[in-house]
Amino acid sequence: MSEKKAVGTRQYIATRVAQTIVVWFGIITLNFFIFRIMPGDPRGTLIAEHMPPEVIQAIAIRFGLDQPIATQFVLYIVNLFRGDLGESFSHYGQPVIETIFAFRFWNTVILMGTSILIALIVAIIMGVIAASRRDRAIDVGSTTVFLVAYSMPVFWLGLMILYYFGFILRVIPLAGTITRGIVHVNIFHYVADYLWHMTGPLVVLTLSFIGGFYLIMRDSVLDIFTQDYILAARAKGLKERAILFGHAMRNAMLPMVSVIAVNMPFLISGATITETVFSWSGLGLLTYNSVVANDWPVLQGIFLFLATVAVLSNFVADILYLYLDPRIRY
Amino acid sequence: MNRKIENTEQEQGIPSTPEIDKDSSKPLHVRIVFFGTIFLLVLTTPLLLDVFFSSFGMWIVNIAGLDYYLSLIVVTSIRVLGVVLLIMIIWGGFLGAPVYYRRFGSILTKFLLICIGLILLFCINLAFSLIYIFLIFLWTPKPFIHWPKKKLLIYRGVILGTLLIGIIVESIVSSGIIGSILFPPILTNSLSNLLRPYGLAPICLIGLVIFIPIYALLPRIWRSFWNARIRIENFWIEYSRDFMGILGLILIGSIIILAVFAPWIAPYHWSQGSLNLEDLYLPPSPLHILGTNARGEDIFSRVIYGSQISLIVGFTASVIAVTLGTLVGLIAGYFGGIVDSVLMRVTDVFLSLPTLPLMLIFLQLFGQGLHNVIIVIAILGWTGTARMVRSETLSLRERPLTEAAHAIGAKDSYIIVKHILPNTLPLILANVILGVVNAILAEAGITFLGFGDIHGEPSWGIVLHWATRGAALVSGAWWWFIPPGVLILVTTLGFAFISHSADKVVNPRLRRRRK
Repeated sequence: MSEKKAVGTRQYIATRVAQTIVVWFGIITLNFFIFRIMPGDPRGTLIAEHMPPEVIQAIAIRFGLDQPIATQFVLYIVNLFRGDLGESFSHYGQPVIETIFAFRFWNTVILMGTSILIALIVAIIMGVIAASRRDRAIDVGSTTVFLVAYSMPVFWLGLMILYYFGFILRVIPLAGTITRGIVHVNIFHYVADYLWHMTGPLVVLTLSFIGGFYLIMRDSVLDIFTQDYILAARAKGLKERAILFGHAMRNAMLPMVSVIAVNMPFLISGATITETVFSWSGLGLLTYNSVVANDWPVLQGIFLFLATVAVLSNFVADILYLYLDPRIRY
Repeated sequence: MNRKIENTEQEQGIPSTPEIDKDSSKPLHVRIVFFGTIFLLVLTTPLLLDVFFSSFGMWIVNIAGLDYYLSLIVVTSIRVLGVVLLIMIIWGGFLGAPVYYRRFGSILTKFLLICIGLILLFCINLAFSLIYIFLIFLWTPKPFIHWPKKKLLIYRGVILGTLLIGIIVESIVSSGIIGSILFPPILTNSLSNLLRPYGLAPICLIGLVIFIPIYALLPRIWRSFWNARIRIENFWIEYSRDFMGILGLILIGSIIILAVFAPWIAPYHWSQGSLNLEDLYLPPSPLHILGTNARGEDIFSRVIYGSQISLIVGFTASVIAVTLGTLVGLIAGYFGGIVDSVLMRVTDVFLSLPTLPLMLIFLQLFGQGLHNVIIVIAILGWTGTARMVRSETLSLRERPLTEAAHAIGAKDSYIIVKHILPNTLPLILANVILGVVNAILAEAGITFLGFGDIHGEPSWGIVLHWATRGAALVSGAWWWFIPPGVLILVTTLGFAFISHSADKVVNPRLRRRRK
């Protein structure tokens, strides 16, 4: 341990970069071999039993599946760096890149980004307040509420909201991202329609994220209250609010950075079920449909993309930590 | 050296016992928990062993093909033998001089290690068991002990390398249908699979049959159980102050009762359907409390039976995942260096994989039985534990206790098992409880999407899956999709409450200061 502390910041960053690249290559390799080694033909949906052998052979050649595995792997990596992820089986030969990034990616980003942001803000504020009034009514109450939110099955919450607000009260739409067949008058009309469709999944996702964030925030604020600088701030006669939001909250935010980074893949895959329940046309629904339709190229693409996001967010969190907390030196 | 440490542990346990017993001002519930723990220890172990010995006897009877009276005699004598063995070993451990100070003790340890090797050999995998046997028994064999270090390294490297390359080559050669017929896998297969064609498969249970009773009868195990009762009581005193924790226990307790007694509580069997048109899609009535589904099955019964599957999946997956994570974390944190780097990069890769989509793909490819659901959840759920245990191990390794243990000559394995593992135990338990929450939610999500054994015994997720398929939302059949969801919520909430309260007890900085 002692020799590690002597290593400079720059070298630490270099090591992290190297590690990130190694992990990313690990993921690419895994991503390639998961779909090759497992039982089942990768072109299962394209060939049928009654097809003549020449056609099956032609399909294999068309997708490069007649080559040995090693050649296929090299081809895969070369094509990856060219930005070519292959063609979708179920979307009639549409390039995978287009399938993922044309509009589904943006739908997911908007939905996830908004809900994470709302969840973060509410969780941080409530966590600080609850920790400062420890064991009072507001602390016990909010902890219970957020524990309920934490242990709520996401899809069931979605079903309930769909049932009560969609079917019975008819205030939210039942499915989709925009109303089908409607001609939007102007951009504002379009945005309003989009947001109206987003309310259901947004509420569900926000509630599902908020519990975990709140519990971590409350714990780390409680931890910070035992530190000496809080005592010093109190002794200086600072107002309670200044101590809470000036000193405690800012320091307690640090663990949140790494928590969000580590949970990134879970956050994204959590959207799979929500998007399926609300038929929100994003990456989650695409994943579900591709698994059902055995659309391996698209799945491979989604995997690569999600894993890359996760690796990058981990890396960024580590570097961010270095600048946010000057005490940490490697 | 190991003996001395054990001895002090034993002595620590004894003086505190009379102190506890004298104190008569304890509240009733603490007494109940105290006696409950002792009761569990004293009664369940012999009971379990008796069950084990009788089944062992039945096994022999089946193999020998004896008639009724003869088999009765055989089984009874084996049970009596078991009881005699138990008394002998307890007497030898507790009253006589402890066994391990003698040569007999070291032979016993060796014997148990061989049994583990046999279990691996027969049940898991030929190559892994060879690696295990090599690591335990042939790492530095007696004839080569004077060899220089470099030579020893080559000797180890060559044998391990051959085995590993053998596995890889074999799995490549024997892949595919033609390959597996021409070159049936040997190294990557278990011995029981290889012996099955010759009718020798029952031999494979030998390792298990010998290992489990001897291990369970070790006085060491009994003593550590006995010493644990005070810790359990102290934990309970702290824990019972918290209303939330008690509520969680009550919730989980009632769900477990529901699962265990499901056949008696549920009015119908879960698969008892009906072909009559009048019996389908019934609304709630006294006959069917929650109505019936598209196949005329009673939804109330299905929901009650669902608790079984959900709890089984939750506990099994969580325990497997946490065990895996603890192993990886302990090894990576304790040994550091290249081992740490490799294991942590593997963890990073797993941590970066999108969980739910991967679960769906695995299930789509490998089939959708219950055990596959458990395996998939466990395989993708160990990474968090591994990271936490590793960082805890890192800090424990730097503490004086590890140094002191090293100084008196304790082995690495001894330090890990005796000093580091007990100190990470609270963390591990917390992870098990949180893991159950995650596993139950994951299982519900997977089966809700229609992956998993949706035609077999229902879990709550499966009931919900059929509810959405049966258009329960559109027809407003709230009795179909609300109860399973509420039960999932109650279960996960119970575990979350327990984990929240236990965290307060274990984590002193979260505990309220008493005035």
